[in-house]
Amino acid sequence: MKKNILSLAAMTAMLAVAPHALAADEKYSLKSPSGIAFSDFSGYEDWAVVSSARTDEVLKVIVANPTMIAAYKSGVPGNGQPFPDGSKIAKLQWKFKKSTEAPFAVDVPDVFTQAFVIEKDSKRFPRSGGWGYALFNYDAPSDKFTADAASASDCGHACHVAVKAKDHIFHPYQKR
Amino acid sequence: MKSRSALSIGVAAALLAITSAGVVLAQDKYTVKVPGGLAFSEFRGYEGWQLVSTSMDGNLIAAIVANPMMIDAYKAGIPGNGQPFPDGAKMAKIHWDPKKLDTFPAATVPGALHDVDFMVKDSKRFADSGGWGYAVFDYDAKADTFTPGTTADNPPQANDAKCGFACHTIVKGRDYVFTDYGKR
Repeated sequence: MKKNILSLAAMTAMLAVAPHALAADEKYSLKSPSGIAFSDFSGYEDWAVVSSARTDEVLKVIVANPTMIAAYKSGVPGNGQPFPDGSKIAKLQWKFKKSTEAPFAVDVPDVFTQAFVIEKDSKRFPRSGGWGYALFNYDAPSDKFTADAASASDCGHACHVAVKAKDHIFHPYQKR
Repeated sequence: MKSRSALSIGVAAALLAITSAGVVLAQDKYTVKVPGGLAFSEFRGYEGWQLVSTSMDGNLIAAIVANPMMIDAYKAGIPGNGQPFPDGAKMAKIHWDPKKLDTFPAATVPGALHDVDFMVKDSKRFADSGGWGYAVFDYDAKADTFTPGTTADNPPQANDAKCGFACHTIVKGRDYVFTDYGKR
């Protein structure tokens, strides 16, 4: 009996801890309508910076996995070479707000909204320049990611064809 | 035989000219140092550090990155949990001039690099500025060189490591660090 109470206590403790673990697992169990798994991009949280950008609505940072960063550093795509299979890149977007603390006019991220992800696999995505595109939305109030349902792959290939000569990638690796 | 030697010497001389010109032109940024302050080389490898966040500082686009020790501290809940960043924590803010992305004009993207700013935590060395040392390095895109910020900069950079201390005191409650680790 005592043992049962102990087990119950242990289970309760585990449940209390679980939400964090679940949130991460849930995120990486998502798949885009086009069949691209968020888990293909596991670890993007720690990738190195390619560039940054803003529109009237959002602040963005573009990060890439080590394979893609190494390709950028070797001169791809400016040297005419394509990014290798296994290259992965993510564009992270935040709504922004005025910093109330900075002594200068500074806009800083407010809530995280979206992760656009692209991966190179020339065999798997032969009809879209070798790249697979997916969009995962983040809802801050529920702290949940969802695969974007409205679009198969955001603007994806249709938009990125504009920069076909740069192997379909808009952002260069920025000097730093 | 003689002409071949002359040719070799000519080629060698040409190579030397090219090599030495290259050496003279290319600055090793890691030799740059603020007089009386921080050296660029204390932040070696910042080019590959992980992202903390981004911002628009006035019209400049910024990416804020940090070394693994500082990223780990952020992930452990610092500074929101009231704990200070550990000694050895380092961060860099990279500022670019803005330009329109020519292939997608709704987006403003980095143009030329403008400056790189650094912070390093060393509670003994920088005991009189909250445990942090600060430095600003301005970048001249035409010359491809970095130079230490000066008192003409905003904020001013004197010959010490305190250029950020006055401003950052506003966020003393967050161990003098403005930037939160951005959710992603």
